[in-house]
Amino acid sequence: MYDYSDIVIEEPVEPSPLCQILYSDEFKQLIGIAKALMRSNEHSERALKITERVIEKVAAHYTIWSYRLSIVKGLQNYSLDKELDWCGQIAVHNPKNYQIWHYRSLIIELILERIGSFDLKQEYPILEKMLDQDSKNYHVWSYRRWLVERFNLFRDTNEFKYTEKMLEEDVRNNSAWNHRFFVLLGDKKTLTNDQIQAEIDYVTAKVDIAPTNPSSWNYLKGIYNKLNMDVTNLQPLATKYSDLNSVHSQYAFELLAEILEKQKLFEQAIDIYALLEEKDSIRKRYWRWRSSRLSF
Amino acid sequence: MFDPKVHVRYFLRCLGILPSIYEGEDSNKLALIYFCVCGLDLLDALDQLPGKAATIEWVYKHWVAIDDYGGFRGSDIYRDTGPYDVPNLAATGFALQILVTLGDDLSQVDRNKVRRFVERCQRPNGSFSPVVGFGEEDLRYCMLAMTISRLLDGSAVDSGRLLQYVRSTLAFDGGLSMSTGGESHAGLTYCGLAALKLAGELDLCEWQPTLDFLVHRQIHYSEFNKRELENEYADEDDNGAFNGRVNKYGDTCYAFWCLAALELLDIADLVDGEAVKRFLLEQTLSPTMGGFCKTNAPDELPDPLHSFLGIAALGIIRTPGIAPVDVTVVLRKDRMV
Repeated sequence: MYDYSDIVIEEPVEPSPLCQILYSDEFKQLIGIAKALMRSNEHSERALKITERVIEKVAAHYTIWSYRLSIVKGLQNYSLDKELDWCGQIAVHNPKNYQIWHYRSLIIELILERIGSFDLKQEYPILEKMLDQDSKNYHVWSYRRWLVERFNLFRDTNEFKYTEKMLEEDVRNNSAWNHRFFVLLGDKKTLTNDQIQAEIDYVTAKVDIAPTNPSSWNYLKGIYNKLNMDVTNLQPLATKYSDLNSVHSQYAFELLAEILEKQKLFEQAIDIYALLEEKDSIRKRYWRWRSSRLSF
Repeated sequence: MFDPKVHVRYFLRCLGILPSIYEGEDSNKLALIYFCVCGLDLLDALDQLPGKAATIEWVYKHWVAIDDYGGFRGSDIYRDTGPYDVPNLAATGFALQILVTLGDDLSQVDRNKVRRFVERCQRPNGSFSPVVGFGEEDLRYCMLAMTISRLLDGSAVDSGRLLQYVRSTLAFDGGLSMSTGGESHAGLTYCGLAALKLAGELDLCEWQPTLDFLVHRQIHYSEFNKRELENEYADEDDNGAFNGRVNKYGDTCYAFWCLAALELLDIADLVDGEAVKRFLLEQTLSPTMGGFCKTNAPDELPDPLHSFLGIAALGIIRTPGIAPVDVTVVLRKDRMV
């Protein structure tokens, strides 16, 4: 292991009048060493090890991450692929940590800077592992979004397939829907009519599987808004699921009201809002307010 | 019935001595103190807090200045770390909120240095980073930067660029997110709207889809959508609760993020206050320990963040025994002069 015997550990952590944490001797010793190394900005293997131990104890320590990055940059022979492996291990143990994924993106930037290319294949196992643990992990999806943007994976087959697999498992996984939206429409490229139609068919089939699932309706409306398409074209679908005597959905009624508003059929829209007020009673004041804002 | 006493005891207990398993919370200590102290303030129980003067003095010990800017460090463990001993936006926000709550007039704060710190954290795209030149950017730091600016009576933040940035995080379903193309999230939505409100850039007309997103966060399983109960995240006991994202379970803190965001738009009465009150009091309040848990899962314990936000949410819907909260700077309403 590493030798830290030359380091003079100074003052212990000061006691605080409120929320005084009874730090263990191990913690005080560790922080003492880390502080001395940071102060001299030492770039060494032993310093790297200390940052790891601090991160394991206090993952939210905001400057230990920049210190670690500085060490990694300073140690020319230290393998950046090894650093990515390390990131993966830390991430698995800290699924709610914000810093780790940002740090990972900085390491990839560093690889690109040094080597000029980066093999994306090595990213997929850790992402799959994390999303298998928690299929809606916000940080992991945010990172995957960054990869799409950074490596121009818009309409990439692999990304599409992955969201399809996730939605196959859980059609209500809103994170997967969101990712798909970004992969499809996150850049400025214009889609062909065939591409648009294929996507509308895809989401419509998902609506049929679970008509009361808000994610797929939001996605469908999102595509229409983003592409400035006429939402009144969705009237057949909205009508299909707004029959109280058959399978119906709150979101179909909401969409129908929106369409009727667009068509200036205000009296019919008011009837739908009245129905929403009755059935979706928790939001009754909202539906009443929406109704009251219709201008004849 | 809401009984403040058990929650006062909870906050006082959290402010006491914490065993070493809390070591991992070291960087969040100012946040923990803010939740508890401000929680006591909302319960009108600050007079039961011992050692206010010592606490004020201790908070000021977190001050760190670099060149022409300064702010507060997250904890004692950053002191004397040379280039790594730098102020942090979150710590600076929480430190100022604690000081104001304890009645300090901030006369010992070098306001110009803090203003310069906040301005330097702003990135060209309008967002803010947690420390100057490092760290992830997102709407949390936008909110913190604007809170700090308000507590110090202004700074030279570029509010036009801030507005551009907040707009860029708008997701297709109306919520705000981590970054362009991110998933809509009620907590981040609050942060974005609060930042704009503090910057004087919040206009209800522009945020109709966001309003729609926020009111839909209140969970309602009825005859109308009972098929949704097949969803593994669905729980009938969540009725009335708010979730943070589409198709997620109810969580105490989102009652605050959603109600506060709606209050920023002056329309918190469009959701069902009684229903969320029932959820908080019957599902996540801990009657024996005091405080609130995150969710109604049986194995959970209350924590300071969810306890404070649960109480603040109840304050927004005017629960007797809780002072109303200023939803822009998240302090008791009459604290800011």
